[in-house]
Amino acid sequence: MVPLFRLKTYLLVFLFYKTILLASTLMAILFMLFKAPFYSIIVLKLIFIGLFILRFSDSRYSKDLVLYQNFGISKVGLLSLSFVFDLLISVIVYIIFFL
Amino acid sequence: MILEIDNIELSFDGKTILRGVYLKAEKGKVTGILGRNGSGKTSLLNILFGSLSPKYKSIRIDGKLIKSPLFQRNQVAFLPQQKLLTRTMKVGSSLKLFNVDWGTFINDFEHFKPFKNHYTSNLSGGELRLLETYLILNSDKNIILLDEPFSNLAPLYVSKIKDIIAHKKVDKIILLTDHLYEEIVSLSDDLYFLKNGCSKLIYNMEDLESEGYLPINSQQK
Repeated sequence: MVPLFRLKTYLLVFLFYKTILLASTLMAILFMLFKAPFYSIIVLKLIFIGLFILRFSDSRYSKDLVLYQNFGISKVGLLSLSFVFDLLISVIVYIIFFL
Repeated sequence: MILEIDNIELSFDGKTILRGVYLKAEKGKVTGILGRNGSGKTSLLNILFGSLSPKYKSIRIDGKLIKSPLFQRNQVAFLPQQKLLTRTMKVGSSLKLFNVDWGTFINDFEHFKPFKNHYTSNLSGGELRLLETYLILNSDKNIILLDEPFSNLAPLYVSKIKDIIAHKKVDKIILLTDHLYEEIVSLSDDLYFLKNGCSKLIYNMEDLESEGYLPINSQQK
């Protein structure tokens, strides 16, 4: 369960994913410039999240998630929201500049 | 409010870490956990918090069995042994995140005044530990778990943190462990010792000596 109705949850998700977010969004824009189908952008985001899942399934790195767990956000919740957040930004960019 | 944990079975690579633990922590009391390196203190706190899943566990709050991880119930704050805050977070932002007032913090720890807009990566190990411990102790949760809160802290700050713990315990359950056993002994109302995967309630320093945690006659030094 993720506390979805708290602004802090989204601030923490941004804090967690911000390093990847820029790279992921820039790559998505590049895909859009080359008129790649939108599903390929979704696959790109899934790959990024997949890498994060791999990283945090290692107990050495999963310890870094205690900050987020202190605010009631589980690993699954954090990664799911990061994916949605990342995808949403690309959808907005796509709608504004490429549709 | 009473927190109880028992029936824990935890193994790593075939080695049993915890198997016969019973621990009871109450609001208004500080509960200390001591044990040698590798005795399972950190694992026990991780199990309580919900970030580590053992084979079996039974956690009860006021007698009611809690099946979901405690952190998902938004009742518990945990200071882990390793760093808590990310390096890219500013000191002032970290206080905001935990709803802690900057002025009150500065009142207690004046030397942090110039650090409000500094990243936590600019703090020394001791300063970072102090900040993290302060944040966890001042969070609005009912249960506070502290894993080595005094590591890297100067004696003056250890004393200040002890004062804060003694003040905060009135309306919270506080569980802590550290290798500075004298601080833990002086701070704790109830003290448990972990050995061979089991817990034992400790009544005095002689118990710690007989368990082989302290050298014999260590109190005379």
